[in-house]
Amino acid sequence: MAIKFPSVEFFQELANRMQGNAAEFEKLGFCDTVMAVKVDGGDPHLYGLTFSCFDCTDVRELGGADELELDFTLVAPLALWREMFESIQKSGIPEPAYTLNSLSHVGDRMAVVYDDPEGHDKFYRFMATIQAFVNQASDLDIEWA
Amino acid sequence: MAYYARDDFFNNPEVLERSVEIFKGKLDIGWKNLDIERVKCRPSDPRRGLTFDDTNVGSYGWDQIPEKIRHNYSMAPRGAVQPPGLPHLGYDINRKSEVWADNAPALYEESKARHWIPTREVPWDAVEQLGHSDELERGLAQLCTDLTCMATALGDIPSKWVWHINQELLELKMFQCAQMFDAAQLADVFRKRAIAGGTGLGRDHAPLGELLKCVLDAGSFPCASASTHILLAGLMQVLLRHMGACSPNAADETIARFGVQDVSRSIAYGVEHMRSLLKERPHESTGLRGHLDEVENALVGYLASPMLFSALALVTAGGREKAAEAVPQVTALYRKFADEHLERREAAGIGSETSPLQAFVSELEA
Repeated sequence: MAIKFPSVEFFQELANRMQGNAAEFEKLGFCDTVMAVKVDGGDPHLYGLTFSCFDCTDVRELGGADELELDFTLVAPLALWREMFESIQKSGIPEPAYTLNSLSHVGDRMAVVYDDPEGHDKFYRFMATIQAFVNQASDLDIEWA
Repeated sequence: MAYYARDDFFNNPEVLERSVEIFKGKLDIGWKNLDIERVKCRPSDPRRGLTFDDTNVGSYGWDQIPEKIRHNYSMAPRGAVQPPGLPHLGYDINRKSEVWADNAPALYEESKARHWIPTREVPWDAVEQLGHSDELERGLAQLCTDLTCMATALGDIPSKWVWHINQELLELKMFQCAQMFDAAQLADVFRKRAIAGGTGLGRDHAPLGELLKCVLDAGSFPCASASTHILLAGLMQVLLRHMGACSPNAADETIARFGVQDVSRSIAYGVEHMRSLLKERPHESTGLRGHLDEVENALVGYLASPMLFSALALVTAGGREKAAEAVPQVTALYRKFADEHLERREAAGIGSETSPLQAFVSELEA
């Protein structure tokens, strides 16, 4: 059954798969950060993701960035999120141009928004886990909004 | 040998007599009777195991370390009984705020948990099928050569200071040991990447040496911490992010993805260390700002060096043909780094209105 993107169900499914692939995420190590994904466009959505130890322990849609104490928010238009997930679905991992690092590096495609640089640096401290988390969508049947 | 034990044990008849008695079975087990705090520690999260946080209790924890350590100059682990006569081991960093950051114990645990093994985890086969131009490979090899030098310095600096630091601050010292191991591994992987690509290592160059010497020669641990953890680790982070974003190669992407996590822990420690230090001793900020401005001056020399700038242009453009067109992108990279560096300085309480780095990048953009 297809899962709609963007939706809480989509990110919850990634969280479930993360838990199901415990060995992969235990190998990557502790990941302790509260981040958000913002899908920009005509109908914008903001999702809060709480990572603790080896799991994503909480997924929720946010009415505003102040509803959680966020370390950082990844912001991109719907079309770019779609390109990224479609790239991941080609071979299980993104093509070099579609890794979270490549997309966010200069900031003209995906923005990393933060209040405190310490929160910003958590993106880099835990990037390997967050990349593996989004890679969990590799064989997900996605219904695009 | 600079220190001779206070007793000539070998020629002391009492030592021999005592040993003979023990060998006869007359054991003295009076040492078992300790007037010491007994606590029970269990993992708060079984999946994390027993962490430093879980053992931060009573006299064993770091919360009770005084600002000025006057009670222990020995190797006794914090909380152990210290009988009279323990030798002074020569620690000369005995002030907690000079080195401590409350996130250091957790960063140490994170460093162990997120340990990676480049020897096996980098897809080295991908280096054999590069699929990019020789010029790009030459640029990447030069970048990896520079990063090898930086990673070596990143390991040398904590090793220069760790043995000066009082044993009471043990979680911090262990974090420094983890930094050294992380740095060794980074130097190892950058070196291997340059060699494995087929073009070999590039050149060392004076502007990089000047920068690293300024960082290595910091006269106090707080100055060394500011220039190492905020400036040098920040520079390595942005260069790795750039390498990962520009190289079409899975090996480089992997090295960048795992490399940034290692250097970012050092940045997190550095910012928190500065915050803790300045909360306790705000007057230190003037010296720290001056030191960082001075190191930034050397950093400008490195960023302006033709070798780094042209290597970054080659890496960004993917080859020589369009390298000149990549100059604005390299300038944008410098702008990103300068802004992130200034944000970290400000968050740490050592912002600068006379930052040479900011002035240099503004000049480039003009």
